[in-house]
Parts: sequence; structure tokens; C-alpha cells
Amino acid sequence: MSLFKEITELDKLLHEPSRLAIMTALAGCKSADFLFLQRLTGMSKGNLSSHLSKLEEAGLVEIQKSFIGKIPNTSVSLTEIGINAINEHWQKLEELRNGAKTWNPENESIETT
Amino acid sequence: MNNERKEIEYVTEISGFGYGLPWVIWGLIGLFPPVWGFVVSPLLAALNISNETIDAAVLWALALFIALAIYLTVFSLKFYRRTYGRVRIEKKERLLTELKYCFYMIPVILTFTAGLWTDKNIHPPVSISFLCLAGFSFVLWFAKGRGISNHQLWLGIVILLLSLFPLLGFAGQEDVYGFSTLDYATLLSGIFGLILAVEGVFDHLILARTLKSLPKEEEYEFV
Repeated sequence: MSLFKEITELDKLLHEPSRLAIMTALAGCKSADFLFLQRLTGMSKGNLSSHLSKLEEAGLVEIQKSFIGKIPNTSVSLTEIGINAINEHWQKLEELRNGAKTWNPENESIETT
Repeated sequence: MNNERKEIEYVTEISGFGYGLPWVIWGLIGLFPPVWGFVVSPLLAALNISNETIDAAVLWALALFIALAIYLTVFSLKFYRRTYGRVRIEKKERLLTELKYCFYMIPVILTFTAGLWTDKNIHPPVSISFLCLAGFSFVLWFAKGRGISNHQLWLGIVILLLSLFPLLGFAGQEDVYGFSTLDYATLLSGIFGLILAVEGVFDHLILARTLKSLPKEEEYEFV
């Protein structure tokens, strides 16, 4: 498959910058508070909730709601599927980056429709 | 690995392990011996306070300082949790990291003791203890901040240059380059504390820079 075709076929659910940041942060810990992810991405609560819902629907993250004292707390963690997905995604990006470094236009066949 | 990924992972690690301000606090503990030995103690002696009183005062001051450091550490960790949210690290990973640091500390202490012994008995033209401290700063940079922050590298270079002081003629003849052994060890403890404190300040700055502030109307609640 051509390099550029592979780039266009990257998993868009993971490759969106905010979701990639969320997944990368969660890959480095057991779980993180909603507040931490909000601070990390700079998103509004609504936006972050929407992104987390998409990730949860895909089975990539797990959301736990609890109380610490009287304060509500939402913490987010990666599922097994999520851990594998983010690791594979970063590996793919690394491969594409290496591929781009050695890319030669003369070796690329032009596909016409 | 790209820089954004490194930065996110670094910030997650700092938040999870509670680096930053707690390191500043414990670095200041390292600065206590030189501040007491070179500033407070001579000042008290100039006020005609007896040596016995000064010796007793140093123990009380140190105990008070450590108690204050523990309180401030707990306070700073709570501050981080409230301001930036909590990051939990796997127990196994936390244990492994803490063991790794303990494991690192053994060669650091051994090399440091050997360096102090060499400086005292052989008087090499370059201070070996200072070289050990520079090495410690380089190791911190290599293991922790490389690619994100280079402050440990610059600090290591400064200490490396300072290790040349005997060669440049700034050293006296007696004991350890003109210092008593106790004064020299005190000085080294201060530099060690300074490395930790600088490390903490920069980690805190990275946290503050990377974790963005929330809009004013935003309040923390359920997703």
C-alpha cells in the first residue's frame, strides 16, 4: 500500500489531536481525573465529554464516577483494547514517519481513475 | 517519538508521581546544612551564644524544618490534586520506579563517598565529589528530562566547571581544598539540594505550562 494511502487510512477515532492526547496520557497511567484531561487538552467540559463518549462507545476507555468526600469525581482509564489500539497507532505513526523519510517520488506509481 | 507525545507522557508521569513542588521542598532540606553552617551558626556565635546552645538549636531547627517539609509536601500534593486533577499510577509501576530510584541511589552514595575520600586524601586537581554531583545531574537529565527539558544538562555543566576550582587556584591547602571535612560535606549537601530544588522548579513549570487553565465559568462536575 502506498505511504499516502496508509496515512489517509489512519484510524480517525484515535488520530484526532485531542483524542490522541487523551489516549496518550491515559496510556502512561492507571487512570486520570476528568479535570486532568481537561487541563491537558484545554477543552471545555462539553467537548471533552463528547470525545470521551466516542472513545467509550468504541470500547477504548472506561469512565468511573464516584465521590471523594462530597465532591463528585470522574476518572478515566484505558481498557485492554484501548491500550493495544494506542500502542499500535503510535507504532503505525512511527513507521509512517520513517517511511516518509525514505520516500522517493520516482518510486511511487500514480494511480489514475 | 514526537515531542508532543513525550511531553504528554512526561506531564502524566510528573502528575502521577507528585514531582515538582515536593522536590523543591526536599531540595531545600539539602540546603539547610550550608545555610546553618555558613550563615546562621556564625551569626549566633557572633551574638555570644554558647556552642552547646547552638548545637542544641541545630537539632531543633532541623526537626522543625523536616516537620514543615512533610506538611508542605502533603499540602503541595493536595494543591496539585485540586488544581490539575489526580493521576493514578499502577501500584506495580510505582513500586518499580521507587525501587529503581533506590537502586540508583546506592551507586550515587558509594561514588559520592569515594569522591569525598579522594578529595580529602589525594587532593586531585579536579574535585571528584563535584564531578559525582555533575554526573548525578547528567543521569537525571538522561533518565528523566531528555528531549523535554535540558535544565539538568546545563546544571550538570555548571557543576562540572565548578569541579575545576582546585585547578584554577581557588583551593586552600588544609584538609579538603581548604575546607574542614564537615564544611566540605555541608557544601556538597547544599549543591545536592540545589539540584533537587532546581529539578522541582522546572518540573512544576512544565506542569504549569502544559496543563492549561480552565475557563472561569467552568466548574468541576460529572461528565
